Amino acid sequence: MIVYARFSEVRYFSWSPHDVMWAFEISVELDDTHLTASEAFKRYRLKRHKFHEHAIEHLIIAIRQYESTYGIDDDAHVTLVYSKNGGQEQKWNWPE
Amino acid sequence: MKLSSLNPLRCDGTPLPPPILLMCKLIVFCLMLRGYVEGIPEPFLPMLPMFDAIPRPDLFRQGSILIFLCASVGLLFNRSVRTCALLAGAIFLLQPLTSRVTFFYGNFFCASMLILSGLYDDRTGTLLHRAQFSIMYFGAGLGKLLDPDWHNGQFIDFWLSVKRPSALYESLASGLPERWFAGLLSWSTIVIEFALAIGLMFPKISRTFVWCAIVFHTGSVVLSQHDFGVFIAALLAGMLVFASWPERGQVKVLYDRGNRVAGLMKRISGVVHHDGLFDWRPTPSSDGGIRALRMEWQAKIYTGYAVIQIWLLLNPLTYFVIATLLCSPNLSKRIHITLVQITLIGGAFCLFPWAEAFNNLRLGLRWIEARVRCKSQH
Repeated sequence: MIVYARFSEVRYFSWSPHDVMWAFEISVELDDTHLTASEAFKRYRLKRHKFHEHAIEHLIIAIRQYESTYGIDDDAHVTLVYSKNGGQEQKWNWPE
Repeated sequence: MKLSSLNPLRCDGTPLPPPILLMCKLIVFCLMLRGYVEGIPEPFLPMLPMFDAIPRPDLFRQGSILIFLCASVGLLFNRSVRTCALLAGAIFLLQPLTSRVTFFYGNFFCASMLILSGLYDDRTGTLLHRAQFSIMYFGAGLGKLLDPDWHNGQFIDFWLSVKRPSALYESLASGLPERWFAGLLSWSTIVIEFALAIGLMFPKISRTFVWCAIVFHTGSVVLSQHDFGVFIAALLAGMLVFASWPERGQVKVLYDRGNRVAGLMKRISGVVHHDGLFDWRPTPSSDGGIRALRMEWQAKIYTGYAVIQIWLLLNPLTYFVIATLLCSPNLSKRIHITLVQITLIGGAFCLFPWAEAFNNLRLGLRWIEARVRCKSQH
């Protein structure tokens, strides 16, 4: 897994603890309703933090998995804004 | 079944070596104390899709908690310890597989150490545990080495200035050029992690590296004012796999009956030491050649404070007290982190083998001096 993690953005079980810090914000829109931050965290059962301490891809995978399975009928529009270690902001949108 | 074998402070008489059993007990104890057991999730966004097919996720969660608690009770009370370690570890390994949003390295480390203990075999000894430590530090070091944000101190600076603003870091960094201190911390972390990955693999030198790891992790806690969840406590418990542990009666303690400290230690030992490791032998007070306390173990003789250190290090109660202080529940965040820092610094200071270290340092200096003299004569 350590070797695999060098060629992938996914870092599960790869013994790379605490080597990155992502500041992030999730915004979710269902039909015309904009979920509050706490509702958005609740939707994906995430701990309410401003920072994510693993690969950001883990967050993206979780949201993608939710929206394409449990929440497939919600037709949600999700925007994830994130920056690595205080660097440049990036954006990821669902649907992709 | 003898009632005394159910004593949680007893670690002998099971298929697991005492330090490994003690480590397992401490890990499950810390997980329970920190409330990680209540945090065992229902299947939700699983890594393995089959967990989505479970009809009653709530029952699955309750079943997992029940199995973990039963396994913990088994471990603490010395019943079917290998099976219990395997089960407790499996529950925590299963956690991210059933719910990917609950993947944390602290839990994964606990799961690995418990499962490896369940798979313990006398032929391989602690090889798998040591390999686990090496893999963890190697993975951590490699990840940092290949990340540009670790080369220039960007991560450390962001972590200790924005994520966890540290007054200590600010004051140390302020006197130096920009990011210089952060860069120094980054590169020292990478070097230390690689050194630990190598050093902990070799039993002959692992003791030195265990202390390096303790100092390194204590430093990170002090600098960041962060307790890293259950990870630090589990890691320290895991270090027990590197410990030498005597057989029953193998540690001979010669003590002066008239000495108060010695008498007190002997009395406390009768209450808390249940493995019978110490063979207490009184010496007459008139024997001027022997100090109030003298210990003989592994062909070495210890006197004075070193005896108290070994007496504490071979006492399971010491580790349970440290674990309780590190995982103290229901305290405000500020009090908790202060307690963790005091425990780590105080514990390391009290238990560090100062006498041996100074002796080795003196021998090292003598050796260097001899080499220099030899060269100058030539």
